[in-house]
Amino acid sequence: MIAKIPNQVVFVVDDDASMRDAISRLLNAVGLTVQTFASARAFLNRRLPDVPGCVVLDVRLPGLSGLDLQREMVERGIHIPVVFITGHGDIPMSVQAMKAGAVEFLTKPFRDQDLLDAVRSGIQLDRKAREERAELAELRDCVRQLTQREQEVMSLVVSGLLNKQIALQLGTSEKTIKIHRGQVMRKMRANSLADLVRMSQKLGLALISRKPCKD
Amino acid sequence: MDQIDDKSLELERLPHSKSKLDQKASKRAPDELEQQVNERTTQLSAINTQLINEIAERERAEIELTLVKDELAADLKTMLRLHELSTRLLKSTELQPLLEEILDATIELLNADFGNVQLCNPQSKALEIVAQRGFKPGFLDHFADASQESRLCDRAMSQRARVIIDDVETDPDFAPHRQIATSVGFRAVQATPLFSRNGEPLGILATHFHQPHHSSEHDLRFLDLYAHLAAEFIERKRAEERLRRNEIYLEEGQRLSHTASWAWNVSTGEVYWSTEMFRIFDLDPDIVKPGYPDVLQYVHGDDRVRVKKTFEDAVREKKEYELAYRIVWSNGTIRYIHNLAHPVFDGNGTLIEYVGTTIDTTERIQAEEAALKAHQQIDMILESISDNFFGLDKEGRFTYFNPHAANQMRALGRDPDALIGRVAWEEFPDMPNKENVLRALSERVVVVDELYYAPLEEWVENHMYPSNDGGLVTFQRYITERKRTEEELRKTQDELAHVTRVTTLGELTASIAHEVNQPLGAIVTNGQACLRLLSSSDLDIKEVREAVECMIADGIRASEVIKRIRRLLKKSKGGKSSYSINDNIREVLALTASELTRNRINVRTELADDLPCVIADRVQIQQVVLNLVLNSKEAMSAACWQPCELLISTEHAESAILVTITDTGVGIAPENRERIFAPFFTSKEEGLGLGLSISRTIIESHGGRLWSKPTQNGQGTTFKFTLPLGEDR
Repeated sequence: MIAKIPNQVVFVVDDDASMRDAISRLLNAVGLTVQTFASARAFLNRRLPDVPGCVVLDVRLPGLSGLDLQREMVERGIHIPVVFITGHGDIPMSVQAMKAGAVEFLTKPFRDQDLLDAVRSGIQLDRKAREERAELAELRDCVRQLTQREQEVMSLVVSGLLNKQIALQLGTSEKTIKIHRGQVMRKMRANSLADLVRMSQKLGLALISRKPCKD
Repeated sequence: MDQIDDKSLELERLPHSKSKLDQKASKRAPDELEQQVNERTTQLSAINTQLINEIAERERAEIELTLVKDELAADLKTMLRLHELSTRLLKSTELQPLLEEILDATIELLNADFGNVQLCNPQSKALEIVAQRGFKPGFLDHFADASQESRLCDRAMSQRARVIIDDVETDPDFAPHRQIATSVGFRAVQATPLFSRNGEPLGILATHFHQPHHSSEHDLRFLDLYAHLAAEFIERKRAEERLRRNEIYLEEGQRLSHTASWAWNVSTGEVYWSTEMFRIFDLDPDIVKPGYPDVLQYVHGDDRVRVKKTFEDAVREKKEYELAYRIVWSNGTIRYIHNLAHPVFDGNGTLIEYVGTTIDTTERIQAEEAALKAHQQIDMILESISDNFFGLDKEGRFTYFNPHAANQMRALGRDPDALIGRVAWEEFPDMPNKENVLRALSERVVVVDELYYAPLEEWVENHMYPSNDGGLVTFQRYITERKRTEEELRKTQDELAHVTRVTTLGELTASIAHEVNQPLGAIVTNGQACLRLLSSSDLDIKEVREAVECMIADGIRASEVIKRIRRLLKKSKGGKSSYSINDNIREVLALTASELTRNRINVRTELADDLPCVIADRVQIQQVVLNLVLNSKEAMSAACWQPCELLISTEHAESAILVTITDTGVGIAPENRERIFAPFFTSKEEGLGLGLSISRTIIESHGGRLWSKPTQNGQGTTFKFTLPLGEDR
C-alpha cells in the first residue's frame, strides 16, 4: 500500500534537534522525503521544491513561533498544509492553529500513525489544491480569451437568463447574443450549460473581482 | 703719701735759715768789744742757736701736729663716711648704689686707681662683678669668662683672708697671671673677702693700682671697716630679700592651697588672720576685724554649737584640736573648712594663744563626693550589668570579677577571690579562645569572639577591650538563647526559601513539562521509527542503531531535567561547597530555556572563563539566579513591543564574583527600586512577593550584596549581585 512517491516532500521545522531527527527518521522509514529546519526563519529563507508537500511544525520555536510562521506563510501565498506538533498544546492554541487551516494538531509524544496519517492527508490536500489551482489557472486562461461583451454574456447566461432577455438587457439582438454565447462555449471549452455554470462557480469571486480590470 | 713727702722736704730746708743768722752777727765785732761782742755773740749765738733749735723744734712739733691733725681729719672724714654709709644702710633699699659708694670710698681710702665688688652667686657659688670703677669693658668680658683675675679673688675666698699683691712683677705667687695684669693695666692689687656674721662667704672687695703699691696698716684697718660695712649691707639686703620672698611665698602658698594661718589670743579674744583667712571667709580685711566669739557668726548654724564647744573644751584642757565645719558667706554660699590648732604657752605654762591653720576643703570635699559618686556608679554599673565582666592585667592575670563573673567562677567550682592574680589560661587550660585573648593583649585591638564553652554548656560572646593599664577588660555574654533563635531563624528562612523555590518551580511547570516532554517525544518517535525499520523488508541496521542511540541520549536528557528539578526542590541543609558560579547560571538557563523561548526572549551570556570558585549553598544561589531570570522574563513579556534580550554576565571583581543580569523589560519605577526587595512587594498578579526579598536574604547571608539599577542605554532593569570568594581559592 505504501509506495514510493517521488515527487513529494515533508518539511520538518523543530528547534529540538533530536525531535527533528526522530521525526525525519520516522518519515524516511515510510519512504517520505524530508527536509528539516531548526527555525521558522530558516524555513522561510529556503527556496522550496515545487512538489506536493506538508509542513510538520513545532508550535514553540525560538524567534518566530510556529503559529507566526503559519500566518507568515498565508501572507506570502505559501499554500503548504501544516501539521502542528507541540510539547503541550492548550486548547486556545490548537483552535487558533486549526482556524488558520492546520491539517492536524498533535501533542508530543504522538502515535506514529497519527503523524503519518496527518502528513499523508496534508500531502493529499496539497496535491488536490495544486490540481485545483492548476484547473482554475486553466479556466482563467480561457476567461482571459473572452471579449468584454462575451464575459458579460457569460455572466448573464450562467445567472439563468434566456437569450432574448440578455439581448434586451444588453440592448442588442437575440441573434447577436446567440453568436456570443457560441463563442463563450467554445472558448471556455464547455460541453453544456451546466458545465459552464460549474466553471463560473469555480471562477466565482475571481471573475467578479476581475470584472473592472481588462487585461 | 705725697703730703708726707712734702713735709719731710720742708724739714730738710731748716739748716739753711740758721746759717743766714750766723753771717749777720759776725759783721759787728772789732776787738774786745769785739770779744765781748763775740762772747755776747757767742752767748747770743748759743741762745740764738738754742732759740733757733727751739723754734725748729717747735716748728717741727707744729708740723707734726699739723700732720697728726691732717691724719685725724682724714680719719674723721673716713669715719664720717662710714657713719653716713651705715646710716644710709638702714634706710636704703637698693644694694647696687651702696656697693658702688663703698667701692668709691675704698678706692679713695687706698688711693687706688680702680676696683670692683664681686658677689658670690648663692646658686652657682661663682663670683660675679656687681659694681666696678675704672675697668675697661674688655676686662669685664674677660672676667665673665672665668678670668684669671678671679682666681686671685677665689684664693682670697678660699683662704678666707685678704690677698695683697704689692707688685705683680715681683710677686712670685702672681707669676701665672702677670700677662692679665699687664693687659688690664695694674701692677698692684688687693682683694678683701666679705663674710657674713656666721662666716658665710659673700664676695670680694678688690682694688687695683697702676703702680706698685703698699698699703699701710692704718689703711687696711679702715679697709676692713668698709669691708665689714659692705658685708653687712649685703647680708642685710639678702635677708630682706629672703624675708620678702618668703612672705610672698607664704601668701601665694596660702592662696594656692587655700590654707590660711591665724592666731587667737585666748585671754583677750584678739584674733590675727592671714590674708588667705579673709579670702576663705570672703571678708574684706579693711572692714572686718576678726575676734572671738564674733567669728562664730560665720559658722553654719548647724555646726555652731559643736564648734563653740570644741573651742572651749580645747581652751579648758589646753589641748590641740582639729575641727571640720561649715561656714556661710554673706551671699549664702556654704564652704567646708578644716581647722588645725595648737596651744602656745609662756614660760610659766600659762596658755597664751592658739595658732593654727584653716584650710578651705570645699573643692576637695566636692571632688571627693563626685569621685565617690562616680566610683559608686561604676561599681553599680559593673554589678548591675547582666554580662560577666572580667579584668585581666597585661600578663593575663585576673584582676577583677563582677558579681556575675564571680558566680560563673563559682559555678565552675572555683573561688573567684583565689583566682585574682592568677594567669587566666593557666587556671583554665581548656580555655577555647586563648589565642584571641593573647591577640587582644599583644596587638592592643578589640577582639570579639563567639564560642561554645562545654563546661558551662553555654554559647558565649566575648568582647575584649585593651585597657589603659596594658591589660584587657572582657565582657562576656551568654548567647545560647540567641544562638538558638538564630538557628531557628535560619531554619525558618531556609523553609521559606524552599517554599518560594517550590512556588517558583510551579510557575515553571509548563516549561519544565516541555523540557521533559521534548526528549520523551523524541524517544517515542525514534522507537516507532525503529519498529517500522525493523519490520521493513530491507533492514537498515545502521539506521536502527542510530535511532536507539538517540533514544538513550534523550532518556538521559530527560532524567537530567528531572534531576535539576529535584535539586532545586531539595531542602537546603545550609551546606556550602566550592563551585563555579557559571554552573549555576547554565543550569538555570537549561531549566528556563523553553520558558524564555516561549516568551521570545533572546538569551545572551558573557560568562568569564577561569573564574575563581565561590563557596556557597549551590541550591540557594541557583534559586537567586532563577528568581532574577524569571523576574526579567516577566518584565520583558510585559514590554512586548521591545526587542527582548536577557544578558547574563559574570566577572571577577576584586575579592568577589559579580553577576549581572540585564533585561530590556518594563523597568522599575524609581520609587520602587528599594521596595522591590521588601517582602510581599509584588507587581505580578500571582506573585507571592517573596522572591527578591528571599534572594537578598540569601545573598547577604553569603556575605554578598544584591541590588538593582536601570539598564544602561535603554529600557529595563539590571540586577547585580556579588558573592565573596572562598578564602582557600
